[in-house]
Amino acid sequence: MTEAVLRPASESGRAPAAAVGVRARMGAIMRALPVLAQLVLMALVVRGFALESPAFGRVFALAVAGYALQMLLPDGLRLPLFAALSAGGAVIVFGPAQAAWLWAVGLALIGLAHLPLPFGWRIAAILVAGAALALFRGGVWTPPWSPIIWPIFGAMFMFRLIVYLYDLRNRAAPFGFWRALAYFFMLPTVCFPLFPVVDYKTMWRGWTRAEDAAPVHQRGVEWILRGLVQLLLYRLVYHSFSVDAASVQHASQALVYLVRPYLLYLRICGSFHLVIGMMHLYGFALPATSHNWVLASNFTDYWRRINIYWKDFLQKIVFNPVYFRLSKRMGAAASLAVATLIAFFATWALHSYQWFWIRKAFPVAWQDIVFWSAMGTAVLANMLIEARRGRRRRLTRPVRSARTELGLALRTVATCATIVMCWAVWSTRSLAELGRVMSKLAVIGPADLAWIVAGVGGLGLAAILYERREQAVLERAGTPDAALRVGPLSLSWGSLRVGAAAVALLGLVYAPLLLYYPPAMADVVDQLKNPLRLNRGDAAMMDRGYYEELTDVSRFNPELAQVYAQKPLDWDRCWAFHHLDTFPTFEMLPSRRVAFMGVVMTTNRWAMRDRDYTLEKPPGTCRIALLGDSQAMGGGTDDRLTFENVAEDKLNATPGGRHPRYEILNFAIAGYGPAARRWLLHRSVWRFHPDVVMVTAVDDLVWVARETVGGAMGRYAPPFPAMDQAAREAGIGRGTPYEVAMAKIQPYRERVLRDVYDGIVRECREHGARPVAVFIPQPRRETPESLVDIRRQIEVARAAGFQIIDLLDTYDATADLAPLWVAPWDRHPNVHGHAMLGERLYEAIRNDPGF
Amino acid sequence: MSETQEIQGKVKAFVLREFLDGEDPAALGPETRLFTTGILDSIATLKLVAFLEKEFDITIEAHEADAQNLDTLVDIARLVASKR
Repeated sequence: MTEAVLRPASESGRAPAAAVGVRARMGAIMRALPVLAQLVLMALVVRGFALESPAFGRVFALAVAGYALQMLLPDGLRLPLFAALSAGGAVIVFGPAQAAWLWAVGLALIGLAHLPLPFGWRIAAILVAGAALALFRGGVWTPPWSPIIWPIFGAMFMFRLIVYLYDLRNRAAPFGFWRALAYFFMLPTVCFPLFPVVDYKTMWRGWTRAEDAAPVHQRGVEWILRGLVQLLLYRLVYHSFSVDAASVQHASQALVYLVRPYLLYLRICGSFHLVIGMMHLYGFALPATSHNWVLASNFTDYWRRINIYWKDFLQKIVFNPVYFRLSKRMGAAASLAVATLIAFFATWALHSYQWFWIRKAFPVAWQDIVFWSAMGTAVLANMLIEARRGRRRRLTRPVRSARTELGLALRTVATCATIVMCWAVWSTRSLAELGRVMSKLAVIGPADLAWIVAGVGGLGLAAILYERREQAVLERAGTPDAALRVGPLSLSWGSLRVGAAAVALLGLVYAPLLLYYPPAMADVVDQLKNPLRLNRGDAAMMDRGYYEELTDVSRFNPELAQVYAQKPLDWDRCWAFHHLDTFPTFEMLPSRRVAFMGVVMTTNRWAMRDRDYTLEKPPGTCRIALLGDSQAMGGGTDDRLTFENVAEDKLNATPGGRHPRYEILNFAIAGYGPAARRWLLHRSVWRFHPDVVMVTAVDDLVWVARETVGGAMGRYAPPFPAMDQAAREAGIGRGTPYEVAMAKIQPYRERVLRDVYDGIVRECREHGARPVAVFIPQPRRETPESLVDIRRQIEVARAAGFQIIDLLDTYDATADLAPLWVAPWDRHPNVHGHAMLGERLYEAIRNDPGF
Repeated sequence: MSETQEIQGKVKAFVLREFLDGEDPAALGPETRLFTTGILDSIATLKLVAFLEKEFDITIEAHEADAQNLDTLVDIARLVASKR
């Protein structure tokens, strides 16, 4: 490297050997032992709660082992050790071959930055290399490495290279081989692609020698703990604040819907704390970020708090250069305004640039434009006011009056409310959906009022208490190095505090092995421990996405995206389906053998997912025609082991039935709701002369709403007049956004379902078949709302004239339902689930004198 | 009075006048951290830079307007002295 400059003794990474005596080293080791003990506890917490990803658990364990090794090494080997650990982290995450590619391409870029050429030539070479990499990333060229390394490669180089070149040109910090490796490949990055920006100069300014680093290490452990707690809080928020736009009916639900996206930032905040905390363990005293962002009292304050790394990056690379250039020609206020607006435009553009490297897409979403425009305008207004009037700053604790406290509380609440709205717009699918939710803010009952008063009051009070504490901290921090001055007593107090918190968290994980938890608490603990558990909204979206292709989950839905990431691309594609131009838009093809949902699926000559049957009913046979959806079709289950085959086989194998033989003809088709089943009944079933028509159902109120909305939105002509009528009365047209249409159809769906059921029952009676509705559960815990729906649906079916077979309690005795799923991303029952259903159906038929 | 002390004195007076009106001057020492304590935020930094350029007839580059050069009165005096 040609740029080795500026190497103050304290930052050189190579303290004079003579100065580091054996005593000093032993002292440093003794001070590091409590930190190591806390780290081991943290590693157990990460493992116990399965935080972030399995890869993170392994990388964190590596970081802890590296910390122990670091204690034994001389100061000069700390950076090589950190580089080696970073390489090890890449191998853990990607395997040796892909890790080698990651490092090779990265080293090539770093090498270009240090070519013995004029700086402009080096920039040109890097731009050419960047363009070539963009062509690889965009899929124009095929790289020799796997696409899995792109997000991490992007995180390491897309912004850091800009900062690095900026500081290199200005010779603003010391440079060197190990420093470059530590900066670009820093260990935590392999698990956190959303932490791409670190300032090179700040990183080396805060680097601390080993013998002075114990307080830095302790602070790192505390930040790691803070990060872990925030990630757990995130899981609580994720599960507790789940509300579907269509189900929002009153003010407190609307508030939950609006606040949720803002609070989900806890995940980013937690991961940032983990990254920065881990860097502290190796002596990098990086600045704090996401510092009590909910308590910002104005927009500039919020912009400073939410992500200080991004704010500093923009200030350094965009704002300051623009301002310094303009201020020589324009006035200060005009320069400030232009520089701020350009900085926010850059934020939006770089957001999409980041998405390109991480996700191979360059999104230009209206939500992004609205969000960043609103934020930019608010921050600019705030800055202009501050520049004009000035902002009161204090060196000593101010006298606080009731008026100042109230003012602070009101400013904090107002700022928070405005930013919550910005985030709600940023994350909404459509303005119509958001508008409908907002309209429910006016529906206020006593309970809503109590929640709102508690929320606003709590936030205001927190702002007041936080300000007092902050003032005291700043008074102490005003003196040099006070922030790093941690004596033995406070060090041990910090260790105890962290250790106690870690033990408490571990207790939460492992206590259920020894203690009995009430079901509600056990459920909360399970939410905290289970990273793949989806909240109600996402679970519904996963079920719905299967049929409606609503799988754009990348923007604000990391859990669902994580689950989908494991799902094969062709999982839902069924080559045995044939497209129709009319309702229900597809049908099953006969005599096919295809791969579907991970198994081989066979259709017989009559286009049933079933064994072969004769058209004529054999004498003495009770023939049952089964109509249903994917569950009844047996998606993801072997041909012979679907629940109807299990029941049929057992009925025929067990003597004592009322009929010598039973046949269950499976007409079920994945994606067919009640209206589609009625259509299929009319079209295909009667020529088989069934004695019984068995319709499986569980989500028919939801299904019939989708079928009605699909017709109203022009996907097909509504098959039955009642559906068309309901859509008209609900005011749903072709341009109505889907979520809004689903909300509008809610009051009408029971009426439509009754009409569909009436039609099925009427046809059955005309053909002398007995109509039976079988309620079979999915392997999932129903929500109180869906249980109400199911009970209503049973009443509708009974009123229409169906005989009811209720198998909804089939899985009640099964504590963990996940082993009954076809796959983590697909909660259809697998062979074990079908076996349980088949057994219950057999019993129901055998015990029913009507069969 | 040395050059450094003179610079520190002028900068201290400016900071007290512009950002810390009414505060005890004794509380602002040569090593008081201006960035860490929030006295210098991005707008205040720009005001301070404008003051330094005008008062001492120097040019401060964009990349120099950061905590490394402006965190304490000592840092500021060092930066100004290096440019005179």
